[in-house]
Amino acid sequence: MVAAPLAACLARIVPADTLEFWVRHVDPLFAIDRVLARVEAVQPETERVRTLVLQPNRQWRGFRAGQHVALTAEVGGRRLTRTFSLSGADTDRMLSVTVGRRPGGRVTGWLHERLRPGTVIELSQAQGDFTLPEDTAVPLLFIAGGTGITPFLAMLRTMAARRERRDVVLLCYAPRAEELIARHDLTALPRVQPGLRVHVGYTRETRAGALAGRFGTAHVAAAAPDFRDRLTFVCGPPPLMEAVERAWTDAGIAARLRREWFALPRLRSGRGPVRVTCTASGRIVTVPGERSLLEELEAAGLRPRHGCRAGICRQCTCVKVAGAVEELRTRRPADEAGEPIQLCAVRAAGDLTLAL
Amino acid sequence: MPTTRSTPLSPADLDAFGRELDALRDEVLAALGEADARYIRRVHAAVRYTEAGGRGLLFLGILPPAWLAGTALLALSKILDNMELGHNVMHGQYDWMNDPALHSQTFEWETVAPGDAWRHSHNLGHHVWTNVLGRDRDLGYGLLRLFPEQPWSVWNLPQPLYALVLALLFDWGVGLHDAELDRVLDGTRTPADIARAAAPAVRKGTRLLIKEFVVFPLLAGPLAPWVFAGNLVATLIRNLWTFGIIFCGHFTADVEVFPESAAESETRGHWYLRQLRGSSNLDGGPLFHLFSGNLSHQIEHHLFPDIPARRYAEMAPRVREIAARYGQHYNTGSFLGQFLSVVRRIVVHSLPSFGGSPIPAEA
Repeated sequence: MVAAPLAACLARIVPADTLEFWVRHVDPLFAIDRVLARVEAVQPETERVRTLVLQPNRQWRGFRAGQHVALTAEVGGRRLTRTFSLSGADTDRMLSVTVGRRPGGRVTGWLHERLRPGTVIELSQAQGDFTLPEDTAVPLLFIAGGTGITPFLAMLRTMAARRERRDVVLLCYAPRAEELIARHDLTALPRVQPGLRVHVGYTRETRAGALAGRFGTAHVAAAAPDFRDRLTFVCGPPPLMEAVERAWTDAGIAARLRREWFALPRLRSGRGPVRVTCTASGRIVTVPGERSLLEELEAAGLRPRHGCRAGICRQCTCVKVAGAVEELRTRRPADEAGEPIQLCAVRAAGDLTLAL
Repeated sequence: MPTTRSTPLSPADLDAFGRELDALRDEVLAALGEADARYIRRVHAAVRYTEAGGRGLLFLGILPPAWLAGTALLALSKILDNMELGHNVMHGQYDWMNDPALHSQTFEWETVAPGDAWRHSHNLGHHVWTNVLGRDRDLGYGLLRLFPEQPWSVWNLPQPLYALVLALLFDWGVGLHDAELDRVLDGTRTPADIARAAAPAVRKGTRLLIKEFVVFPLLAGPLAPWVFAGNLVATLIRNLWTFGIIFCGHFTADVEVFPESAAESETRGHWYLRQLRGSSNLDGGPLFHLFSGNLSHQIEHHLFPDIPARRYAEMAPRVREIAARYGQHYNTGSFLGQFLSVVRRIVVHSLPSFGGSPIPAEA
């Protein structure tokens, strides 16, 4: 335990990344203020879903079941960041992230094909308030679709680990039985948790004892006739989220619904006003998204640093925290979180957050 | 006196020329990936290993082989940090990696020039206005007269001596470049302006002087003189080498300079053409290119300043082929030959130019 004060002392004279470079020869997870995690195991869940078991470094401050992390992996030399729910109990020593492979997904494809145990990845601290209410007496309804089950797995596993008694109905959907994530846990958990009832629905096949087809009010009536009295959590693909929202709004209980969205920034096909949030100045402006972002920000009254205005000198380079832009010359989209962009060489192609 | 060895291009030809270079640029940008990321991290690691090795050996500097090896390693480390790592990262060549440790706007190198000031003077002043008289302050660094198109004064007579001093103190030369010391002479800036502008470089340079010539020698205790001498020689080697490579980039025999009017309302093709005519390459092997930060491919660097420099070697034959098809001279030669032509310029243009007022080349 001499290492920590020594590192703190060295950090005053040696630049952070130099210090990290040398200490990582001994401790590959060493970082001064970032969370690094080593992949300890990769466990298959279904054909297109796997769970990564991660050992975080000492910077990790823990999480509450239901929260998510931003995971940064280096894919083809580029650091790419995606958000995933943690799927293990928040009492576990290791972290679990359960990842479904998206068609054409750069990061999920890499996590499935290239990631091996021993790889070090970067995580954010846990984020989000999609978590269990303090009061264990509140009856709950969880509605999950596909990999949207992951925050609920964390909640159920945490409840089991803590021997917490809650009244929970889980209504979860998968296309087919073999694509149901954590099938074993969904059978085993109700045995140790008397308050838990699990209802599974298959959208692409019919099976005895399972609900058939997509989410509908009939399913809710069958699984949880008392749904109006329950605090409901929903996480899944957009059509499921929208259907549940509609049903809860129609029933006049939208306030009793908690939602977790995982949507990637979308490149707009058409053009139209775009909202730009500047994190350094705190300004929020609306721009047309037609000409270069530099010109449009200037027209909106901002004065970003710039130089040649022709994409050469990089004086106007700034970090795009979130959102999508399109390169003016090549029309190539740039929609990754945290990437540097040249303001004079791109147009806004969706709402943006800039470190400006 | 002929000012160009290249054929003039029609506007249509210029557009086609620009499109071909754009296509080459897009092709290489699309191919960037893991190999480029691994490469720059290895360079970064090499800077640190050679620095640690060099400084470690200098602590045994009383043994002549250890002193020589330590000095050589430290010089290599400084050269790599300055050129293949610092210069290239600060150009934004690795911004596509999204790695904060290699981000052009925040990277800092271990030389006098503070990153922020250099990013401005170099990437904007020099790369956008390459070889434009009155705009590109890298043309002679406000100190030397290198082209007949530049005005002569009696102060140019001893300029070979200035060049020698600049070469030895090149880190300070580049660092103070932004302060535009020469503008005091023509009265466009006051000494107070200059002092203000020079302050960040002076602060950073002083910190480096203390590190190299006080802290590390003191750490060596009784061996302080050997460490001091090793650090001094390594710094001088780095300075002479960077001076040599950089002066060969734009001041060799066949490079051209341009009047300000040539850069007005320039098209992309036109800008590419000015970069090609204003830059010159050095022939050599892979190690030579590495230690020159690939500035031996100055032409490719000026055409594509934000493409990772390790790619210039594979782009060079194609640039050369395109240049040949459009009748453009591709200026390349051996380091010695090119350097001698630079020395010749420094000497020749210390004297006034005769033979009528020369007309700057129109690109």
